Amino acid sequence: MNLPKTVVIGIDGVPFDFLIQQCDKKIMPNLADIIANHPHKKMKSVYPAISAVAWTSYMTGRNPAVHNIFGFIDRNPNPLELIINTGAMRKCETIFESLSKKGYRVISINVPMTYPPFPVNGIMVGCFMTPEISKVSYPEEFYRYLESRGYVIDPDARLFDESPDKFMHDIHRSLDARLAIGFDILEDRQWDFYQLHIMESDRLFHFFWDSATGNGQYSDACRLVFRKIDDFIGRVCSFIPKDARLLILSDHGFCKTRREVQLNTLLEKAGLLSFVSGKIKSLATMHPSTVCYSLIPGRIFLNLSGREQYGTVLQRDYDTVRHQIKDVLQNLKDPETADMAIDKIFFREEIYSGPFLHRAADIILHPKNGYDLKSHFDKDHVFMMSNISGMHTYDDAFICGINLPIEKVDEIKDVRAILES
Amino acid sequence: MDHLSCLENQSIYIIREGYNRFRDVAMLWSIGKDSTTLLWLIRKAFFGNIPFPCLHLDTGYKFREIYEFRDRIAKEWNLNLKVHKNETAIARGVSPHTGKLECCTELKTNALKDAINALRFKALFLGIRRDEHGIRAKERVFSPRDKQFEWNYKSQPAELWDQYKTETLDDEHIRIHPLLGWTELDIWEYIRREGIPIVLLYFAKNGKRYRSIGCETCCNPVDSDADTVDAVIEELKTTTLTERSGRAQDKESAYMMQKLRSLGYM
Repeated sequence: MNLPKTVVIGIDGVPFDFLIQQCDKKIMPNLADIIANHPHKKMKSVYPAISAVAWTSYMTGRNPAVHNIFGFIDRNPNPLELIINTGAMRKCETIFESLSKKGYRVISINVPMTYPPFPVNGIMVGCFMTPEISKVSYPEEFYRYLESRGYVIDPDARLFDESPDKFMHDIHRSLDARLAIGFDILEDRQWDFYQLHIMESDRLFHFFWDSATGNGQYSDACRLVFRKIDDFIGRVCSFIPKDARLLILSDHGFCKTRREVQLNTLLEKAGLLSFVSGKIKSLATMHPSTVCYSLIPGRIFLNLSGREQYGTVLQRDYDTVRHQIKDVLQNLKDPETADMAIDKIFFREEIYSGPFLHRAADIILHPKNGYDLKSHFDKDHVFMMSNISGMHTYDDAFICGINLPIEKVDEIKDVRAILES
Repeated sequence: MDHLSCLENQSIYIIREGYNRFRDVAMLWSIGKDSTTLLWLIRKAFFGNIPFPCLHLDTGYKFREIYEFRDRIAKEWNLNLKVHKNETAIARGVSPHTGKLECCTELKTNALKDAINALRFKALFLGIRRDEHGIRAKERVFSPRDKQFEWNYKSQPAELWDQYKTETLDDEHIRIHPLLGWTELDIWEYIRREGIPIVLLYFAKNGKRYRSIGCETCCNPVDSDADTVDAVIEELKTTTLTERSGRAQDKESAYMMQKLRSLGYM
């Protein structure tokens, strides 16, 4: 028990350059003070750069083949079915549990992949995947306090289609509640390790990228989001003791979406994926002659004999087939601009290692910024426009720390080690 | 009287009472084993001629075997079959692939609302059973629904000693559940005794059978070698799997899927 008190503020998906600009524009004066006096840098995320995988890598300090979270969704190979990953699928211990065991008092609020909330020596409030408020917390009864204070689990993104105004309003409603209640918990409860996660920034960049980064109808509302976050940072800094450690980080960056790329449609056009005729195209109606199929984001699974329910690709052809698929994918070009859409193609063992490597996709694609890899089964076109205006990026997450050796961090899975030493 | 005859008598009593009270009634026929058993009982109650329509809510995603069975039986038994689809939602592109929760809500729940409004039924016969699902355990035999079709489980009439509440307010309609007290095993034993025809999907083929059927997109078979009614009955006496375990989703994962879809994460 010799770690100083520690506060972690997660700002989901906020790119390094964007935060620096907010500081320069005096939208985030408190953060500007911190980075003027403390180290800060760009940090790499994880492949694929999405919150489920990135925050699980953060909290476990491990790569996906060890922690077993490869995306928000996954598939069981046999019987073939789509599954949704929750924290219950995670296969190794988190920083919240290991600090709890050592006797530290832990509070964690809204960190992705903490649904279902698990026992800690303190309080855990589950993430945006929580289906109802009564299931949001450990200890279970703590939800009554949250409910009485008007806590909001997550803004409802379905509102965007109805009206962007309504969704923006919901983002602020949720953020206000989280920051207010989160600060009261920080002030009123006992803790040695406190983490609060802000998800609203990710929603903002997905749906309001142009307004958030330029001048648009919602620019004021976007700036206000970051003013509120900065105000929270300021209050935290004045509350915590001088020798406390403070970490502010995001889990991936963001850029503008140019096109959605439908990988299953591409595979189908290339003759690698087919469906039983007369059926609606889906995972369940793939024809056994399928060579491979894709799940979001950019994950390709071979229809491997002995593994997949209707697998027909022979084990001995595994590597040959992977190379053939790679050849099909690597020269994929945007038909309008002739720009390359794929940045890197990995075979799973090149980026992951651990006991759950066999559960990883066989091939993992990393797109060029702007090409958002999707994997619907029923689309007619490979390149499509999207109503989602921003997409995740890999190498420009943000990290800054007070009393923490952040120079030791290269990618998000390195963070746990500096927090625990 | 043996157990099955006892259940049969009770159900026929409820069916006749319901029809006598409400007249503007229909039965909801999903073509599954329970509602087909209900259909059998209703035919018995009225000596082969059902004096009201059989309503099928067609999502368009039912198994081919279900459609074939429906059309064959409707003809053989001379049913007044009414097929209802939520065409507006289908035109809007609602499907299991765009979100299963929304799909069920639109193509089943809202389709039923439409049908009741359009055809002006005062009461509906349904083949639900108390042992299917926790929430159904709280159901009543005569179960009122309000104007919004909501079931307020807190204000359900007591049904002590089989005293049923059959009066309704003008803006209510009543769901009548003649099979409420039956178990899955009772249904199968009654199917065996009566020789009721059912969809062949319930019987094992290549080591799998469907224990509960609905839309093809959202039902999975269970491992089973039970390829006859007798074998199914034997299996049910020992199984530990729940009846609806092959149904795609509980509400929680449906909620998560909807959430991830709205964010473009699936």
